[in-house]
Amino acid sequence: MSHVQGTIFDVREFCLHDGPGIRTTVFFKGCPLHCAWCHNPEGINPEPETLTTGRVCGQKVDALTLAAELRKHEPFFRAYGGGITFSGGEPLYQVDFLLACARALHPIHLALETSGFAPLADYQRAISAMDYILHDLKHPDPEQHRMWTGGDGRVIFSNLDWLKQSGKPFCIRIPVIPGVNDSAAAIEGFAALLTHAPTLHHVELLPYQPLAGAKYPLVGKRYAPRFEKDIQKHLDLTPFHAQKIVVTDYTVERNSPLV
Amino acid sequence: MNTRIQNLLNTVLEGTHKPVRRTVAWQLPLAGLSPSDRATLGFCAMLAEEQPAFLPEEKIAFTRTVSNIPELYTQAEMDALRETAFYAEKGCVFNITPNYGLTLEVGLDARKTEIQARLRCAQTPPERQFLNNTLRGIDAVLDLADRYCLAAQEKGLHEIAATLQQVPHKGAKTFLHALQFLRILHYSLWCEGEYHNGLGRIDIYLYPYLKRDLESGLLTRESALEVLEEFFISCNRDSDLYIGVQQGDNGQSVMLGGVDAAGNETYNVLSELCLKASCELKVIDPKINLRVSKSTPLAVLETATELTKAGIGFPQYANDDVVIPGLTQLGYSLEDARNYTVAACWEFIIPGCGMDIPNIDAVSFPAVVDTVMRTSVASTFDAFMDDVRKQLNCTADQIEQRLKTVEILPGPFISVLCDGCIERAQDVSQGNRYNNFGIHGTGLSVAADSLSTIQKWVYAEKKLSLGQLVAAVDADFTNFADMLALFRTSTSKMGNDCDDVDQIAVQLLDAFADSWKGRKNCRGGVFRPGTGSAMYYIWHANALPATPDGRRKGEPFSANYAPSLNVPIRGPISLITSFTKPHLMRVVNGGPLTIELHDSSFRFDDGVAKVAQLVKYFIDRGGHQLQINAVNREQLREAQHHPEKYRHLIVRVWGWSGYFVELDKPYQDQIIQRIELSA
Repeated sequence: MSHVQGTIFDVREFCLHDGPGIRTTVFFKGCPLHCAWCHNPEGINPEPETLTTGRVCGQKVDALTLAAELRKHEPFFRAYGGGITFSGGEPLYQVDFLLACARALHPIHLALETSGFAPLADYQRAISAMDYILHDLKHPDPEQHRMWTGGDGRVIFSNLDWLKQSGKPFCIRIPVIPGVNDSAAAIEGFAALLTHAPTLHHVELLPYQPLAGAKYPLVGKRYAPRFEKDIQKHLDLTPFHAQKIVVTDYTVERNSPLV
Repeated sequence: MNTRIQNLLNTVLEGTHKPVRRTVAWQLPLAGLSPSDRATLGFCAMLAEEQPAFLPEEKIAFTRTVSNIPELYTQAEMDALRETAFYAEKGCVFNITPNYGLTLEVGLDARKTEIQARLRCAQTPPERQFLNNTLRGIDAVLDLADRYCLAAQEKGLHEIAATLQQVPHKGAKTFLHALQFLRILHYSLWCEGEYHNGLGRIDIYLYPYLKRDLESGLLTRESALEVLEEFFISCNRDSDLYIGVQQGDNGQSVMLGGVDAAGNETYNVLSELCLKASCELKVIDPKINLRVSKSTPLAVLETATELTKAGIGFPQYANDDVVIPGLTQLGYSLEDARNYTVAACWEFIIPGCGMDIPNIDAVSFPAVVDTVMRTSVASTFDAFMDDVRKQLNCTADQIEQRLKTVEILPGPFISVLCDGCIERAQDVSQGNRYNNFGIHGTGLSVAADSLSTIQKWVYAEKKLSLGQLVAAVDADFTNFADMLALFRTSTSKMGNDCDDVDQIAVQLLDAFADSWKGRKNCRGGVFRPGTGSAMYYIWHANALPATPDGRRKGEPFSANYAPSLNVPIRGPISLITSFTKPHLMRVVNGGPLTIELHDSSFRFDDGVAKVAQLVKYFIDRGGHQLQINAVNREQLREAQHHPEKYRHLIVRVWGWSGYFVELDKPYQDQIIQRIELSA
């Protein structure tokens, strides 16, 4: 187990939005989904690849080597709060590597950012090794989910059902994509997926990234989303509030003069 | 901010007050006069030419109406003086912070009485001349204040007139009096020709007035904030007339918080109001510095981070835990060390009693490495580092030689505000309790990264000789593309918490401190090495060919204490870890670690709290000085293309903030290139 290799494409310090406290986030390379609005297209291919600029994106790394590097910040996390977050790509796509890293990093606070799209057994093993989960939800309708992301939503929803009763603290992140999942029906659908979730901390609504297409030429792809990318409407959050779910709505902030 | 303050701010930002200014064709009978008499004649003539001018709705008066102060020396006279001695910069007193507190308390009439008494027992003609000149200067200030008072009465500006009936003749009774008086004194210094005039620890010397007014009910927190904001705005009225390398480099620094001379924490309601005022006004003056230590409550750091979030490059933090012992090691008394403030940018000086010249010269670390690379025959890296130490010593010898005779032109009026000058009957330019010289060190990270290249490729791997390396840098890496790529993309760069290169930087700074230790300067002081760069970072970089870290000719160094430009940095935690490894107590001439964070870092709900934790990490690790910028590179690029849309965009340059569009292009480019650590 000690020589499990994985592929990552970035390590970023001082991520303020990837879990409790100050996080160092590791980006795993490779994702089984291909969301139409993905803004990290270089995270999809599971292998290191040469970008059109000539730079190689992604590196194979041994779990212990990576952990030793990440562990440098342990005193910081202990004194000032925070920890390490696994993001991607999709970390569950390299579940053995993820678990090897987690074992090597214990007892640093670990968070996982996942789409939840993975076989239940992998999902359970991974979640059990973490302290906190940032769980994406992209669409409440399984078919729409498949249409926009390439993956069947039912896999995710049944995994989520397990998470909700697992006792593991988690938050839900919804990328709000204009015309895709911002209808009143979609909001109701999301809320319905989140009933009976005692350890759900809060729900975050993330605005569509206007620069999502910026990196597509790097991987030789064209960004051609089939949605209205400029319209961000005001969301009615009543379905969440009816369930007493705390919602942080960053789509509102995008429209504020601050941004 | 209320409407009145908003209007005053607009007046200054739009420059609608500038039509009151005129240029004077000075014809002063200066020939044959002593330097002290020249200074006084110029000062009195300047103030006599000044006319009362009032901006709409203001309560704190004094605005410059004469754009140009008289030149006291012709170019030929100045050249002749420079033949006989080294005169720093313009030659006059600059970059110090006087003691305003005493004069604010007793008033100029009392100061005159004190000087007249001293004059009666003056022994020598120079003493009498100095004291007489201080009296002439004070009279000129009082005369202008009286004319202001009269004009205010005539215009029905009763509040201003009432204030001016008290100050500057008599001591301030209220917070408003104190601010008006401070405005007059500070304004006068610029008229005497001094520049980079610091304001010092205003939350200490102005606090008694505020406290009294709050207790008596004369002021509330809100109304106190309003007058404070007006004072802050007044610092921006004439700042375009002040001397500096670039617009904004005018040294109007304030220092907040920290311990007092007795060692007690001073952070108070006024400190907090100052942070708030700066946050609301978002103007480049005064420059906000905050003293902190391991015991600073996180809530204070969070309030300060709210100011960082405002995006004007304030506050700059100074760590009492490091600076105070560092200063005592240099020979400052503990009481004085505890009272430190900053000069124009970040050089730690003592208000009132310091006549240090904290930016008198600078050592270029990359130039030292360059020389050694060309001359060393060392067979091991350790021996190579010994040669670096020798070269640093040699550089110190050369600088010391250049500074054998250092003179400063007199400033009789500023001397009134400096401790001990009246008692000694001697101009502050003759020296005060501290007469130390500060030596900046530029390009530390370029030098450390270069040494890391040399350590690896010349000594460890033995793939290159020093001669081959010299050939490559002299060719600016033309035809050495592989080498360039290798050096540039090396991960062993200062700022990434890589111990090998970081330890080289530790050795370099230690060697720098050692090279100055024990040397006495010609004014009875010592030399104080520091991590600052001031404007030298551009000059030194231009003077050098390519460097072994992969920096090509013409590429700048980073400003102050920061990683090399274009070096990918993992993030601010690694950065702080790296830059707090050196023994910073030994380089307390100052010079901040500058961290650029993307402005989105502050936007999420708890972003401010998390950035404050980062500041705490720096303090806890024994960093000396820190400054965080909230930046947005895209916005700066946009501002270069459309300056008209970004007239009020403020950026941090080296020890000061300025309006981005008013900077010369190389400074703009350098700021854009600085590493931006986005969250």
